[in-house]
Amino acid sequence: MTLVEAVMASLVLMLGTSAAAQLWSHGLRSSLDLAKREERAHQLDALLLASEGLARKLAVQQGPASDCPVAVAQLLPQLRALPTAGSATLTQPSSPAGTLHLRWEADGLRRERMFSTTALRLCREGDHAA
Amino acid sequence: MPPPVPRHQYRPSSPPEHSPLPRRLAPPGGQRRSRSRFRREPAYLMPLATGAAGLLLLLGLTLQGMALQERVQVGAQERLRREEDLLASAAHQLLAALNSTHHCLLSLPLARWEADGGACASPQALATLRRGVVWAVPVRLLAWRPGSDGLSAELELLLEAGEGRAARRGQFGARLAGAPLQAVDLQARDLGGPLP
Repeated sequence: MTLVEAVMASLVLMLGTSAAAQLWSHGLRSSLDLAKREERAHQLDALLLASEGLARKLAVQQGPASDCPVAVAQLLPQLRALPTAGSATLTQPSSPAGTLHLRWEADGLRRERMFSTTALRLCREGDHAA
Repeated sequence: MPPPVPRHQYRPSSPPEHSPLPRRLAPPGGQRRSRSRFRREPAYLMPLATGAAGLLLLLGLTLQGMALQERVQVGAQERLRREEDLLASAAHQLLAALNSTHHCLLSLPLARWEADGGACASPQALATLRRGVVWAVPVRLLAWRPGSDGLSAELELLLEAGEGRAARRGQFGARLAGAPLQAVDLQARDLGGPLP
């Protein structure tokens, strides 16, 4: 084997290893990001379900409120205090009359739903200021 | 008797006749033969290096491919969840409208809304109820079927296709109660997949 052959073989191996290491690193990072994203998506899914459940529970405990904005104002802090909320943030964007719009966001992911306040039995019919 | 040769000058070209070593172990060609063997034998190193590098690259590309496939799957799941949110929100929005100003429609099947629902809904309101918009996405009301017991109803909605989204159908069950009648509960029954 000449010196040139030895150098070329080393170079090929070195380049191959370097390129493979970069691909592996990128692939692994991407997989980890995706795993984290999926975990966040499940968290938001659970939060959305828990929000609806808590609203229904509150409605059962207190009955349909005649003052809908007050009922919603009572509900929001309880939703934010959900144990699964973690770093997720809850906002209440404006929505059509008679509906309550809840939006959960975490790490660039978002889940949101509108709920009929009367179908949740949170508010009485006609109190649509939510 | 020949004079003794100094140690540093002793360069035998072949083993002496009386050497205890077998003849085949003696280097007959001297250093010339061993140099040619060095040149010929390790020629496999280059293909081996190329093969190893190729294998590593292939493994890296496989991992990359798997990550990309996973990304596509996660993206599709997120899109499905978003569509479920849209369908559920559209159903709640419709119930909010029915509960607030269109009570009489709750007890009527969709096919009779135009004919018998004039008491509580104008033609324009009926058109809005039939074709709603949730977060800029059009949603069509396919069916409203009150149960024979008068205390339940089935709701069917269609999320229209657009912006790379396939059309999707959602079915819900509503519980009716009170006077005037109101929808007091809504449960998703089948949020299905994309329509063919």
